[in-house]
Amino acid sequence: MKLVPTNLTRFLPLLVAVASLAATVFASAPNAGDALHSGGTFHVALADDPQTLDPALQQLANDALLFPLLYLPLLDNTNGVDLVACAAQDWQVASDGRTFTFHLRPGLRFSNGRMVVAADYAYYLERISDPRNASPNNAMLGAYHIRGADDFAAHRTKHLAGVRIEGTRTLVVELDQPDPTFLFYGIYALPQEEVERPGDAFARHPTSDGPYMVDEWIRGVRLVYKPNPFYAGPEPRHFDRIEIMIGGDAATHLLMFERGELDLANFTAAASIPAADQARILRDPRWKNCIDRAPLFAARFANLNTQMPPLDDRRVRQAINYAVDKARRAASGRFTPAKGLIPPIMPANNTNLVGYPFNPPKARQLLAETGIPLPIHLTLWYATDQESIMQAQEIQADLHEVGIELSLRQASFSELNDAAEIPGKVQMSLSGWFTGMPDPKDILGSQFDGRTITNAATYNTSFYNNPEVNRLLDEASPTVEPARRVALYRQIEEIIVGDAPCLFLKHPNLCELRQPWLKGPLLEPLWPLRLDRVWIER
Amino acid sequence: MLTRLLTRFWWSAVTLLGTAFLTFLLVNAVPGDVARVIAGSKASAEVLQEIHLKYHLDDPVLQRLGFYLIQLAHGDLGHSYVTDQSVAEAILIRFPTTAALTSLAVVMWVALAVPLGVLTARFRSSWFDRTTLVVATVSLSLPAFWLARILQYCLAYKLGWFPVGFFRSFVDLLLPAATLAILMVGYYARLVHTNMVEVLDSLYVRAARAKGASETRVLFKHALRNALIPVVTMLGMDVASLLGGVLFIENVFALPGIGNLAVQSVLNLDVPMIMGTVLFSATLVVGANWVVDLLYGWIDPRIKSAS
Repeated sequence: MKLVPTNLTRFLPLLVAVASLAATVFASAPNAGDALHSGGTFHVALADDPQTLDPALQQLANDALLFPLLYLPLLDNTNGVDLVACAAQDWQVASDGRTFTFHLRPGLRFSNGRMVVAADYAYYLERISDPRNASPNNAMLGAYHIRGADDFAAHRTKHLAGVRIEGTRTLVVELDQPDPTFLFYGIYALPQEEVERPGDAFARHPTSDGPYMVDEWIRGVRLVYKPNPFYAGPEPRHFDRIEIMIGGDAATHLLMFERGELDLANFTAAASIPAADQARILRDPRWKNCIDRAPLFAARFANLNTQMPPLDDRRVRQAINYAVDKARRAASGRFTPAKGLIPPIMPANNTNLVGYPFNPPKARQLLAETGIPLPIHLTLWYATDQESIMQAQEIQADLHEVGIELSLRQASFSELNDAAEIPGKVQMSLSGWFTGMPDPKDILGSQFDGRTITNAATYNTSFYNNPEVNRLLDEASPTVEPARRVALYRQIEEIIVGDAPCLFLKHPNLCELRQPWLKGPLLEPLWPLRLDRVWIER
Repeated sequence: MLTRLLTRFWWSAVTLLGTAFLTFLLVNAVPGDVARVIAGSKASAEVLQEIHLKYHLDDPVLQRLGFYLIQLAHGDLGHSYVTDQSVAEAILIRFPTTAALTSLAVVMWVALAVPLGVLTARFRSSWFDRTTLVVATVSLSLPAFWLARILQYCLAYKLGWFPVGFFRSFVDLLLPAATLAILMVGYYARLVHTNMVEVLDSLYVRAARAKGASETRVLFKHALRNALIPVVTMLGMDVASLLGGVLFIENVFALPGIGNLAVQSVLNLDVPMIMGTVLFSATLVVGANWVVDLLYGWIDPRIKSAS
């Protein structure tokens, strides 16, 4: 018995050929997720579990490193200052500088197959803005003053009045005042129905739209990502699997890296080679071409309480700045000595700013002018991390040379923050700021606005209040014209540097050690480690 | 018998209650705002207030302790302030690693310490005895963190004989267990030695020898059993203590054990997790006391007959 009707038999070869061609076409249909796919498993280690994988509730910088693998922001950035379309295929800023319109890329889906819509981004903004969710990002988003945010936070309205949805693919956000830095604020899509399931499932296994999704998370052991089958983002996906091992310290991770068990030596937001191993690594011919360096949008400084004698005398504060050698250890490349607050990579950085070069005689002269008997006794509070310990000791040694005896008080992070906010309690405290935007508004506005001193949780722990600075901050924040904005913030920085409410120390740099087979642009000043942009070539 | 058991149980409960009480008060006496740790340095005052309300951080300490004890009575150790993970779940996930590490280390150090102790007692004052004494003293003096790092660097990193870190299979525990065993073997070898010396001088051992018993029989059947009683006591307490977390070893070798969990919870001011790990460890110690008492009866029939 013939299985194929005779009248079709002669067409069989043609049918087979057509079927083969069709299979080839559909198998290789254009998919951004497959382009440049190098495959393989990417291995990295974290010292501790992420607190959460919910971007609305994330507060640790290290946790944020995992988000580019899981989520697509509306806009992404490269080179620290350039915005690029991501989940939004295009965007517009109205002439008033207050209204931002984002048009979503078509075809975006969550890892459960559901289409991503504009309402998902609106939900993200509302989730952060609602104080009941206790989002650590609440203050940062609040600084943009989305229209209606206060009413929403007070539960007088059900939604943010300044966030509108037009159709399924257009999101409009309206602020109370112009703010060009809003475009750098990462806005993600969150599926409300998944987030609000009972329990903490979303924080552990989020439904996300990024190139990967969580496959397995055993707390304290490992976190594994697998490709998101519904990924439709603009950038290609490179790995078959990402294994994040959890535990151990930087030294153990480095040893594992050197044995080839990890693809990156240090997976933290402040990527750097452990200080004790730096000299060895830099000399090792295996690794000298495997070190990536990049500046960070960050600053480290020591707050000087301008309301506590003798630090209420500007000459004392200036003397402290002259007395400390900020260039010590700069040869390591781990940081750039600071003249002010604005990091070198920021467009507003003022290369003409003189700052306070190391000059102990000048420091002694200023102290002599004050008439305050020497030695002056001060106390410096600092945290428990290695860098703070070393920095505190260096400051102590330098100040001793000019007649200032510095007592060191080590404290946990939370104790330090709490104490520094109490007026009259802490004379000096080591501090720092890492900003998520290439604009000085964050660093200067949050730390040195004198009107925030009375806030319960102020960042102005120098208790610095200069009315001219306050006025200029108000003028600069809504300024849209770039040149004028830069000029204003430089002016603000000059005044602050002149008043010396802090000891300007350094601008940290990223310094990551990667395996020679790991390719691609790994470091990104605004988002330190971009695992979504690298691939393996063996 | 029943009365003894009930009395035993009562005092165990008092011990654990006291531990909970003291730990809770101590943790809450530590300066620092838990809400700030949870929400981070950039959190707004409103967010901090929400966290305070959620976890009743503004309530009086004794009131919060009362709530905690009521919760504990229902078998609920609470949830982590930081990750919202169930404390019981977190401990149970990590306990097998610590237990495996400790068990393997115990086997190693007992297997080495007992023969060493017996032989050095048998050949006391010989070069073997003196050498073992020196080595034992050195092993007692070694800092755990330093030894772990040195062995990791030399044997794992340089020679490649062992994995550097993390726990993927049994092999990953060999070097950490050996590290722990080195730290403990010296003390136990000397403990066995001291007790054996005392026992070997006793009359019944001389009688056994006089009756013609072989030296091996005298050492291991007659003398060792009596010499082990204080060793068992120490072993029980040490094992219980180690099961509560072998901090330095776990940290260096990146093992997901209770020790690491305890340290992270302290650094994060994660009160429920601190309470959970401390109470877990205390329960193990109390339980170990029970086990040791039972073992006494097996080791020394006189104790069983007396009881």
